[in-house]
Amino acid sequence: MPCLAIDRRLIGLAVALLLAPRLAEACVFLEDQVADGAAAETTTTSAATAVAPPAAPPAPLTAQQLDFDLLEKPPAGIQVDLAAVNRRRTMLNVHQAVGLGMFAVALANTIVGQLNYSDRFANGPSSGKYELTHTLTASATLLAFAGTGLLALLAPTPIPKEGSGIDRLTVHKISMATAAAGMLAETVLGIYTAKREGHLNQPDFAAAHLAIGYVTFAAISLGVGVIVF
Amino acid sequence: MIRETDHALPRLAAAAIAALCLAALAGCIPNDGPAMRPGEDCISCHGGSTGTTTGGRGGHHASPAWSVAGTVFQASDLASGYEGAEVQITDANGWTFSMRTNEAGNFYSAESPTFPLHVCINANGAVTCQQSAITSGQGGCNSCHSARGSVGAPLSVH
Ligand code: HEC
Ligand code: HEC
Repeated sequence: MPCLAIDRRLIGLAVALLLAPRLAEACVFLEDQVADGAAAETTTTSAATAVAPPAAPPAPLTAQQLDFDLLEKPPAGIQVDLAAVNRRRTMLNVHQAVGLGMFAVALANTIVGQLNYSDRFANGPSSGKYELTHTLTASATLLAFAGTGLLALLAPTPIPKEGSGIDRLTVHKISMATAAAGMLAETVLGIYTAKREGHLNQPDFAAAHLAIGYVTFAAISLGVGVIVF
Repeated sequence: MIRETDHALPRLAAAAIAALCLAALAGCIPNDGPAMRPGEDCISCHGGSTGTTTGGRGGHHASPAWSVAGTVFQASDLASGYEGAEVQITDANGWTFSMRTNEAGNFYSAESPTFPLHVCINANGAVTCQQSAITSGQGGCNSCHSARGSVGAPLSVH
């Protein structure tokens, strides 16, 4: 199947299409959040009144109002920025949705990357038929990874984390930091490898790119798996 | 906390399936790629400083410069490229390297050998060499080795 006059604008369109379902999913999350947020707001007022001494006795909290785990039994006297808590919740939920989408695109990218390597450098035909697809999936992976990473990094932390040591989130963060380094290396190395077209050492750069690609995907998988399972 | 990750597993599975589908329908051979225009004079476009930026895509992409490039066809069928032949180059300094023809029969290099060159083609162990040397500016093999070129026939092997 030949690529009929593929334009750079089509590449942009395809990236947008790839990300669209993820964003739609993220929007659904947001709606959930608006509902959850409203419930949390109620809890907020009751909790605030409970701390202020001259106020009337607080209305008894219902089970539903308590369905907001981050706020369960805040120690008396500690001020919590509830708007920030809600913003954090929303951002982390979108982070999760975009992150899962990113994982899917990264998986596709790894598969297409291997196909591209096999096509170009495995002593068989060298048609270049996966090059465009690989460029597309790689760009989409990078975009989604940067986006979901920023969401997590920029989320406010109104409640400081208690305790230390290796828990799931620590493993998640270490994995994703490794993946971020891998992505950066892959972007530079991938573009450089493409530029080595026709040079004798191109297969060496391609092999390095392939290996780092697998390490990066393994890091992403660990980071996702440690949260999901 | 657990509530948020409840839906994650099915979503992850759906995403993974979507990824596999996407990978499965991937792949189209580019117009301007390793298998392009077999038999044509590659260097007329891929000539470096003299290389044009024209092509199938509206003319704004620069074509990379090849020092040597051409196409090897099947002697039994001059319309079909010969895949897997080794085109061996020995430059004026004795440096050698080889290129493997792809499924279109095309080969190309961006290395910078010192002209004049000596060239041989190894097809399944049968080696044929050009007696005369290839001088500077003659890296485009198809410029001579084509029906319209000075040799009058494309490069071909059995
Ligand atoms: C009419 C001009 C023209 C001719 C003749 C031509 N090419 Fe190309 N070639 C191009 C253009 C334009 C590109 C696209 C460059 C881009 O998009 O980056 C290209 C791209 C390529 C690429 C991909 C380069 C990359 O960086 O991925 C290869 C390989 C290639 N040509 C090989 C050949 C070979 C071998 C021949 C001779 C059999 C040939 N070309 C003949 C114009 C030409
Ligand atoms: C300037 C024209 C010209 C160019 C350019 C040219 N050749 Fe030739 N080639 C010839 C001629 C003429 C012969 C036959 C006489 C000879 O062997 O010197 C020949 C013969 C050959 C033969 C031997 C064929 C046989 O059946 O014995 C091979 C192989 C060959 N060329 C490969 C190449 C390759 C590879 C290139 C590009 C790097 C190339 N040629 C570029 C003119 C050219």
